[in-house]
Amino acid sequence: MSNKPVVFKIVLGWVLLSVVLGACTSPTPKSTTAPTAAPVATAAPTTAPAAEPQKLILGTTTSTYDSGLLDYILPDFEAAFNAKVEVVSLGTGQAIQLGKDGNADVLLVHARSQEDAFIADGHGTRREDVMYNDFVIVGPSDDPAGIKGMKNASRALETLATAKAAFISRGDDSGTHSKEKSLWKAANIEPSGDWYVSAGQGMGAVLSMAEEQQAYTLSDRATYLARTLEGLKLEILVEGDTLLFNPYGVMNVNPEKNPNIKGDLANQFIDWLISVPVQEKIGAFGVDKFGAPLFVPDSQPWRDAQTLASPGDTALKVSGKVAQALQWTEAEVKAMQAMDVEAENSKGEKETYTGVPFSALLALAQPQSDAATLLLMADDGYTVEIPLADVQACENCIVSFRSEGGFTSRMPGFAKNTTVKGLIEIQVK
Amino acid sequence: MQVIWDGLREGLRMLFSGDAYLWEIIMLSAQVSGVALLLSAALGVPLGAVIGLTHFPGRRVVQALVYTGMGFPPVVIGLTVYLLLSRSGILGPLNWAWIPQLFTVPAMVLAQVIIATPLIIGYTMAAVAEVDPNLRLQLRALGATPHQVTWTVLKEARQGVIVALVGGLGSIISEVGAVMMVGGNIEGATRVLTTAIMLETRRGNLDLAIGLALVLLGLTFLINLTVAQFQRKSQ
Repeated sequence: MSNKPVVFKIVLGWVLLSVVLGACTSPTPKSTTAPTAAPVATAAPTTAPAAEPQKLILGTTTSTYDSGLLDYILPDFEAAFNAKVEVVSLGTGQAIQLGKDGNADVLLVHARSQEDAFIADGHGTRREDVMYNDFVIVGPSDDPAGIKGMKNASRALETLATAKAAFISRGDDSGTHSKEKSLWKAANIEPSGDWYVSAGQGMGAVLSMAEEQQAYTLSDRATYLARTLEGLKLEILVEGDTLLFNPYGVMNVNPEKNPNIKGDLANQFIDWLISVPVQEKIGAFGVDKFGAPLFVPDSQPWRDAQTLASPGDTALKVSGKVAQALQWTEAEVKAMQAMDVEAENSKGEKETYTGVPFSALLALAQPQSDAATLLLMADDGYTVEIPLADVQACENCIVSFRSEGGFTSRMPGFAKNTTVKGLIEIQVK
Repeated sequence: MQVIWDGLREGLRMLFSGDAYLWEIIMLSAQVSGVALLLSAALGVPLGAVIGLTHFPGRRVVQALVYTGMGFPPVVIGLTVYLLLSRSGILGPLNWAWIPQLFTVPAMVLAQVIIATPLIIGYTMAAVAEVDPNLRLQLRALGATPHQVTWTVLKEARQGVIVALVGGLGSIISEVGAVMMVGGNIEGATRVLTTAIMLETRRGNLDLAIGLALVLLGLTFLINLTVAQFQRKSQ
């Protein structure tokens, strides 16, 4: 008998509390303008809000949200446009479905073929490139299947399948899952069996599973790096294959689907996201924590700004074991004494190229006496090494000028892989 | 092991230092579950009393339906509500103002009311059935209206009714699948304890996840302790 009233009071108290709270906030659940989430609320509530913020529902993939990127950039948009961006983070497949059903206003996803289909089917009217990151194959540090350092991602998966090494797949139709499927397809393998686990979960959960089970998995670099800060011990075993490239796109949802879809605000959001200052901020995200950006800006306005800026920027440099490290702009290289040479193009046909001889550039930089090798690096990260003496002795090896800007190494008589398109750096080693 | 201790310590620190993010989630959980409980109680207790006390054709079928509803997987209810409210769904395209939109608190409340109401009906039904039938006969003999009879029986069965309410609250506050689907786990809008625990675990913020889990555990423990207490006493 004695504690009945007490419980009554507890239940009653709870109900009353929630009704009071509910009365303050719940009829329109746009509630929390109050001192909200600590990491996000940079805009201090000092001034009275001018008007009720507009709500924009952003359907996105777990990678952009879980990595913390959106928390980092969105407050600026919310302040500038008096909007509240409500982020629903899902696998890309689900996020795109959200758009198809008209339940979101704008989508930020990474699955190019699905994005193109989305636009082609009229679910959205506008798609823009935003940024990219890359995928990596991660696994236990002892690497029982021995894939560490492999350059070809499909071959690495093939090795895993042959070894029946435990592999955890997202299995959720996300962008990462689509990428994984395309890699298996490239390897001509239909993965199945005890070793292949389809988790049906987000990236973070899958990384945790892989760690627990000492299994391999495919991850985007951003989520992987973010998780290593939290103590994840899995290691990157395969990276750098162009197949692992992971571009993100932003799309609006066709406002004709439903009158509640905020077409104008979605458009403003897209303009904002691809604008140069925001792109710069995307490129800066994570640098302080990881020493490298998690996402590389890649929107059209950003690319345009880069090309405009480039004539004055360094286009080619010589570094390493040289008496004098040198760097030139494109115009400076073109102003040097040029020569014509005949070399084979990629089809094996003879073609004439104009450019500056390697011997002249090396003479300017003066390689040190113990230097033996020359490393040529392209703007896409491709590198090749050649004995230094051979290049110094080569009279018709040149840095040729490309019609679209930039340089290509032309090395008549050398192996085909020494033709480096988009050459940006000559390292003396 | 270290992770767990660190998480536990950090979780407790956030809890007691009044961490804004953590407390916002706690308050939202309290709100959502409170409103849902209120609505499902308003529906469930009278319905339970009526089904428990009156005899009408098809009563057994209704009872069977209620018991089915008590065991209905919440995630299926979540999917159903999602499809109802989706703008390409059944009610969504009508764009009526009173129909809750997806990814809002009212949508979550709707799903939870559908989950909790059968529980409350079921428990209330059982509670009023346990009241000595002679009481009703006596009341009627004394000239009480059916309304008065029901009210008196409910009062007599209040232990069981409280178990019903607390049980409903327990199921509401620990529910995750349905609120994730229809709420969308939006920060500052629809993120409640259970969905936040899922997210923070996924993100690797184990300390925050543990802090949230402690709160949820504490709440559900209290709720279930209360129920156990009452069930023991009513036996």
